[in-house]
Amino acid sequence: MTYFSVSNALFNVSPLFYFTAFVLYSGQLVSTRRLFSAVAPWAGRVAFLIHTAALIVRWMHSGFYHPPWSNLYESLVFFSWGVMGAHLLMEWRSGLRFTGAFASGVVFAAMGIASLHPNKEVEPLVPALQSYWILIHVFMACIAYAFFLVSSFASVLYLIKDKVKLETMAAVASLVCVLFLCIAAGKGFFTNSEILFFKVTQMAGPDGKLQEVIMNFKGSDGKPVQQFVSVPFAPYILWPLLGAYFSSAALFWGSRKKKALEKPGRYAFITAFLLHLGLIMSVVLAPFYLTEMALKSNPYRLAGFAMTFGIAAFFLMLFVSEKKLASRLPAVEVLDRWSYQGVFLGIPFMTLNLITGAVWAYYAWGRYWGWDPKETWALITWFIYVIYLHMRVLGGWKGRKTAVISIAGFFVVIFTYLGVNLVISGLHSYATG
Amino acid sequence: MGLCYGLGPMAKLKSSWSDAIWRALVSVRLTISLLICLTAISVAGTLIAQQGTTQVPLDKLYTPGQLKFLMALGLTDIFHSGFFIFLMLMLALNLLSCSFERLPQVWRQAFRVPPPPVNDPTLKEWTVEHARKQKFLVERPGFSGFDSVREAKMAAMLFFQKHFKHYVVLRDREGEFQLMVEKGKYSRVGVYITHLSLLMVMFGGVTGALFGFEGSISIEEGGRVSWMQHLKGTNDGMPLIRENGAPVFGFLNLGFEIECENFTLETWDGERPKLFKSVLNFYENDVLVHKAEVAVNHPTAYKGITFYQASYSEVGTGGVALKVFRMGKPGREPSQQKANAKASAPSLLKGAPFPQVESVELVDEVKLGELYRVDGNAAFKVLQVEPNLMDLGPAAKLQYFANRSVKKPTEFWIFKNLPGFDFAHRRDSGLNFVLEGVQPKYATGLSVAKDPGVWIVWIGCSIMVLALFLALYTCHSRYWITFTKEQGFVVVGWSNKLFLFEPRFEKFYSSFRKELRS
Repeated sequence: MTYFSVSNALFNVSPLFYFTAFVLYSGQLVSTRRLFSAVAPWAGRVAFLIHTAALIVRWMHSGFYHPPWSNLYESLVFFSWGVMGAHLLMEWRSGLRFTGAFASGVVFAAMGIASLHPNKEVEPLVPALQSYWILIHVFMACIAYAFFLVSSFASVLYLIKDKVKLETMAAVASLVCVLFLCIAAGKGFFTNSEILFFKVTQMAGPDGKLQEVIMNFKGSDGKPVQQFVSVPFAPYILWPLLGAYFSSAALFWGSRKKKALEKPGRYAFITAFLLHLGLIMSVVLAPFYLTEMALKSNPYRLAGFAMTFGIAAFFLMLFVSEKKLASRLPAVEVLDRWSYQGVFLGIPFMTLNLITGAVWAYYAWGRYWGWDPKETWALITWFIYVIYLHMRVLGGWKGRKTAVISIAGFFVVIFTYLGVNLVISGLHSYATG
Repeated sequence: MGLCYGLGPMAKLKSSWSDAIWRALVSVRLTISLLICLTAISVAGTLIAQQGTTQVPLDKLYTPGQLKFLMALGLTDIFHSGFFIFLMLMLALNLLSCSFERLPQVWRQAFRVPPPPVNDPTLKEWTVEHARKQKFLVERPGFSGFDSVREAKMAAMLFFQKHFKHYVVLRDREGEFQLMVEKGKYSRVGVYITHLSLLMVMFGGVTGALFGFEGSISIEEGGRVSWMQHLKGTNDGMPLIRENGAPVFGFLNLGFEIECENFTLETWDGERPKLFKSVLNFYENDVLVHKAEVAVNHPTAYKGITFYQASYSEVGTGGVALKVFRMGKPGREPSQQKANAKASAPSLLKGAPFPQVESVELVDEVKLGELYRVDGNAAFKVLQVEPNLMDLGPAAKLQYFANRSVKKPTEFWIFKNLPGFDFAHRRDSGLNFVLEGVQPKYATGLSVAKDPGVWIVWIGCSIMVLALFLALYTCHSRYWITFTKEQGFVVVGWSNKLFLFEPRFEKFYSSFRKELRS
């Protein structure tokens, strides 16, 4: 039993608890049964504790030298830890459990995606990462993003409680799904109609044993090569899927005026949902039917597919039980304040994130600001929440308007955290894998 | 924290149009519009590849037509373009004028004007909602059975004395009195300090941009350099190198010389770099003035210029680790070695060991092109070194002179991975050349920057963090305790941040009630 295997075992166990928490928290959204509201937080807390322990043990494994947040796998695990932590903190302070369903759902998905990541080893640090600033900079980012996410969860609940038309929300959500699916599918999908994933091949290592060589193995010229492989029929699902989301968006938007369009809109949405499920399955199950090579998915792409799928699933649930959910939720003022608190707590940490990043960049690269895409997107995120704060405090914006900014903020945060690395290359390490 | 709208003390004297300009300048609408514009431009700046940050050259990403179009609009260098700088300047101006407009008012409110007494008759009318709107909280603990006003006053004052350093008696009349305590005044200036520190950061950035420079140096191991490649501007009479009409770099004379004494590269597992560092010597007029070891995350500074380890490159080959052994004559071998020698007949690929009985190491570590004498009259020279010849690994081409009179030396290749490759030569000369490795020669890549504004930026950032916490997480609050014969005690609270204040007020009220009873 090494620290490493203990940590991995804990990482494998915690999603089970997260899933339990997710089910209970979701039940708690629509049902008044004591079972849900009493047990859900405990499932969440247990999952969080196991998760924390796993992170600490992983850190111990590297002799507290290598912070457990320095490549994509670790980063996914760590940021999802932060989201659950932020939710539990706010739940503890306010006694409101409603964002738990979102938090545990997101964390469960993120842990699931992380578990598909081929390389879970504690990787040696490249020179630029060997700095104390990695500890503080990434930690700040994690706290800030976590609070922003919890705020956006509360904002979604706010909109539901505030009786915003479900069709309007579903129309916007469908469009967002189209956008993020396009980002996740990538350029290759539009040029060659292929969704490209990183390839994993079996190669003989220097000791003669077969080992998995992942993503950037070296070619004969000694330079790293990225080999891609596409899931053969994913494009044939994705095209109709985009179409279905797009038509459901149009139909829902139209149904705000013409009531008759509502039903076809729902059918389109359900079709999209089923296609989406098929897409996810085709990617997740790829290692089983692509026999000649073991394919592990690109976590960025998978995160995009999973996030949009989560949004679709949530709306499907709303179609069934919107009234029940709305009646369970606390007053709009409470939800509004809750959402504000998330932003309020996040902003100083976002500022610290930018500043500590600048200090580190100054020592590592010789400039504190270089308009690197990741830096710039962090600044954009900061701008969004600064606009939120000023509109709220000075512009008198409240309720729906700020809730919309906060939800938009969710997508900006996700794009800054994952999307930038997928679409734009940059200097941040976990971009490479 | 009201709106930024409204007339400032200055505006009163001005005519109407300048008044309108001033109002526009201090409006929150301008702030928001500027922030939205800056956000949009930043998004564009990440989606369009930018000069300097992209790894792929721009002319490979875009067709010449597209590139021309983008350049004409300044979209390939958005963050240094005129309109971006203009927006930043406007934001700075907006911040400055907002602070100028609002700070005196807030200062007066918080520090100069004595806090107002709260009027009791109105309180009776107040509903909780009304109080909320006015950011007041009201609680009525009731009379609590005091026999006289005096007794009630004593109890209240005792409570204040116990919990607060300063409190004010606002009213003390027959049948009524009012005490007040104020907390967290300084929270009010937090917002302005935050904004001013942001201005400071921007000022530091401008200072750096105007008086600093950025560039790079590449020095071969053992080499000396006094010029750096410069990212902007022409200077020191050296031409600016342009590509597609945009300056790529110029040169700048540092005024001193830098020598790379040595460069070290360590890897984790043979490929991923673990550490790279260079030992640098700084010379002025051939006098060593500064010596430093730079590594990633550990820069050094000389004369206000900071040198960062940024990269490294292999520039040809440096030393050759080569050993030459004289082999024993086969006839003189001890028997067990003989048997071995037979079993391992010269095999090319296996690299079978030649009998090296009594072999003597003759030469270690050779330099390219130099003649080395071995074994009496014989001599050799390394002509050429290849780090990877025909995918067979490191190899060296040798020239061998059996004795001085030889006109035509033999030339042959030896490989690190194929020790038996030169067996024919070995047999003839009785010398075994063992190539242990080819050491690449490195050039260290340094980033060079002079940024006189960086300290302003750091100070600004530190102030910003502190001020942000002051502005967001502390609140300016006042508590009034009024006692009248008719109503008994009324506790009123006010704060500029109600949601932070509410739990505190709750606490204040409950402890007041509790202690009043005892």
